[in-house]
Amino acid sequence: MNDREQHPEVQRDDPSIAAIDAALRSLADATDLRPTFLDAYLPRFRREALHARTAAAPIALRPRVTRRRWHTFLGLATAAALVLALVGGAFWWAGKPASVSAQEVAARAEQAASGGVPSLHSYSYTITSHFPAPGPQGGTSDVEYRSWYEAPDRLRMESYVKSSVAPDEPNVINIQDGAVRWEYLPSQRRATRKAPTPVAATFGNARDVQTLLASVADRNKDVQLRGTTTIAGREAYVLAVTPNPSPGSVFPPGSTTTLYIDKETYVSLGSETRDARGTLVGSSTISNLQINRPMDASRFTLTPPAGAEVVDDTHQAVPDAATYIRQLGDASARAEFTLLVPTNVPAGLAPRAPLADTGLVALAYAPAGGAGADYSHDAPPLTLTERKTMREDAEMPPGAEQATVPGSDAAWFLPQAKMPTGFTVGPRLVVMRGGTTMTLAATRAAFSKEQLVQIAASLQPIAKAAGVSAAPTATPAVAPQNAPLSGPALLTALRQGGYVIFFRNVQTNDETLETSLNNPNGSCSPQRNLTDQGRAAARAIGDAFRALHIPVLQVLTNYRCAAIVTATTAFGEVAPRDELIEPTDPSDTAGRARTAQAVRTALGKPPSPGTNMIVIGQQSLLTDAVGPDVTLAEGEAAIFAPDGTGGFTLVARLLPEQWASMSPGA
Amino acid sequence: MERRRASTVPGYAGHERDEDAEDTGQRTARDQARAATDDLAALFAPQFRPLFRYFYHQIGDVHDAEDLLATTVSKALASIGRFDPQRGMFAVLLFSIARHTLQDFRRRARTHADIAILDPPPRDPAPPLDLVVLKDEEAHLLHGRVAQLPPGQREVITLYYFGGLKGTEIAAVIGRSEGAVRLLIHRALTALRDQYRREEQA
Repeated sequence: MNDREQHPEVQRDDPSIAAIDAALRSLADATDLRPTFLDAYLPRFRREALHARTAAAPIALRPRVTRRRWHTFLGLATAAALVLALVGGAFWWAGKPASVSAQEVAARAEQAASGGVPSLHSYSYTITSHFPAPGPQGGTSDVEYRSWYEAPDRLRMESYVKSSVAPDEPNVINIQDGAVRWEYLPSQRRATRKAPTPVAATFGNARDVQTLLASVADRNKDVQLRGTTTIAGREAYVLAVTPNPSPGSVFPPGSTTTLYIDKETYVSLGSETRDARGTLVGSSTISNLQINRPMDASRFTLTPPAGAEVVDDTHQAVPDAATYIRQLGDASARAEFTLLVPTNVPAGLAPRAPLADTGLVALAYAPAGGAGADYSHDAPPLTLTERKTMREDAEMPPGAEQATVPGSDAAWFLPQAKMPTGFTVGPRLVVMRGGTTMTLAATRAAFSKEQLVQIAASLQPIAKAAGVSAAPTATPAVAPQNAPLSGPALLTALRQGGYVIFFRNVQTNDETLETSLNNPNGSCSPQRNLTDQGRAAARAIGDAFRALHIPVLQVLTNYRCAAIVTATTAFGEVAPRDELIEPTDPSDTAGRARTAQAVRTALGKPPSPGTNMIVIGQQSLLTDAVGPDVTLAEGEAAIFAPDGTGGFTLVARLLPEQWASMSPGA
Repeated sequence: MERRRASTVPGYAGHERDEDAEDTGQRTARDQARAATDDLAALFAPQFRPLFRYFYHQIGDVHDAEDLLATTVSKALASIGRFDPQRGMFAVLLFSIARHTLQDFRRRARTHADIAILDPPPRDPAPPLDLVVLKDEEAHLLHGRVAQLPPGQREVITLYYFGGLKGTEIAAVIGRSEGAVRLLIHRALTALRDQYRREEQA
């Protein structure tokens, strides 16, 4: 408003009018759009603008050229002549063979595949992929994909496994509308809301077109134009491509792939691959194609059906330890075999939510901080698939070699290999143990045989009891009361972090008469101090943490010497906190309540991902905070799982000597 | 979104593949989509705030004002192909649509509109944190006084001060002469001044 014109009718010589004028300008400046509205509205505006661009192109934003009447007549005559010429030319052109070269079609198809089709603002289609040969996981693979896309960020994709028992029911539906992304699994009635990711604007199997054309050695020789045809009602070039059979290529040696390239947009409308003998090894066919048609907005929204499980995965890339343990417990309870979980997971990898069914459990490990708990559409570096052992599992496939995995009944290793269909699979280790067959699969060459064997050697069974606890065959040392975690499961959980561990001070000298509860001057003489036995216990706890690779974020204490010395002896560090200081007067109930609240706050606060928080103090601190039910021995730990809302659950208790016994080799 | 596409390559369909969402192709596509709307964004974006101000000071409700803004822009986008800059100013087109949109809104929600016109808008006991509209009492009172102006005067005042239109543009929007617009603005300011004086004397 400040730089707008001064209206001549505003009488600024009248102070009252001038003041009102200024007040109105000020009011205008103070009236502003909410940033939250703009955040929500601008994507909608961009979509509508894009449609307007399509519907009204070219937009008449340029000044109109005015002509005199005779100019108009001349213009009309010229236009008529041009139309006649064009029509005549079109008839002539229709009878003429295509003069475009194979190389030009290939170049344009490559450009279109890389997203270079600005005229594609919306599309929908169905692609049916057919592969007569068995895939790497057995069986033929016929999949139908139905996609709807609207620029810039709306997408819906449904996939149907036609060879499944429910060929007409989508096995997964992915929907994204701007900042909202959903995945719905109809068979599991589970809707997962996910963090939005960039929406690909490329068409159909564009990535494969790029890969195919990039693997051609000589386009003048290996790319041929074989006329035109009609696909899904659109004219298409027929382009035959013979890729270079270089080592590692995903195309079968000697194969030829025929691409059907849309004449107008140069996007791929389908393909067909045949091996050197002319046998079909795979095809994809597009149908129900619609381009630049208005889209029904409801296509891009998902309302989870009544009764469906709704999971919010927008913020949590990796399930927290407590959640993961619960998921493992659920999977174990459901499985018809003994679930095995590795306790030795490669550094930097974190578990994703397990996929569990009666007959199959899949565990996946992907980089911590990676996108989404889901891995059904990503390729995690390491997946562990488990099922009930079958007789033929011990039969090694061609190319496999025996493997020795401690504790297993049998094992074999298959190096990275190219399957008969041309698909390259990463190395995998198959382990049979106690009626469970596990396949440890690495994408590409992410892990060596030795690494996979190491992981398999750390497998520990998860019992089928309610919750999660170690099976009888697992480390039997720990049998906590009222605590659902123990043994390898507890170790796995602690390695993944997310817990707050409260240690009662290790043994102290009861004979010392305490004259000061705190240590403001750095002197411990007026307090009870650790006995030699207590110091040894503290050292043993610290040694066990280091040996078991249990990550520790921080060690919180108050200023009592026993706590500080326990912390420094065990962990070599300490972070004293004023709020954990108990009142010197035991009758100071308000002060004790404040301290108890501080302890509860510490127990309920999730530590940074992948770490655990330690609190060391005397029993009275814990009793005031959680009540008398959790009474610890000296040096005993109570392990709490914060729930993220300030609450916490006791999941395990461990005596000092029990830490070391959690080691898989113990 | 990570997409699993049907493949021309045997063995690919049904198997997970690494698809780098930031690959060149997708960036190119997004850039092109963005570029395609840039000219329209440059045309419309500067008008979002004036439109909101115009609607808000006409009806006194933030959310309705936002809805009306979005509706107006949608209508304008739908007819943008017919807009000829040689024959008219864009602001005139937009505020003409805005004015009709507001009239439709009032017809549909007569009760709501009447309350907004007759009474200063009640203060929201818990306004959104990021809402700076009418943050002080003086501004709130002035908003109420504008709402109590006769419809014709209120129209030109809101178009002039909040919509940011010039006299000639307002004249085109409301279908009156520029002189009539000036007179309406003068009368509106005088009426506001008189109202202040009456309240001071009271």
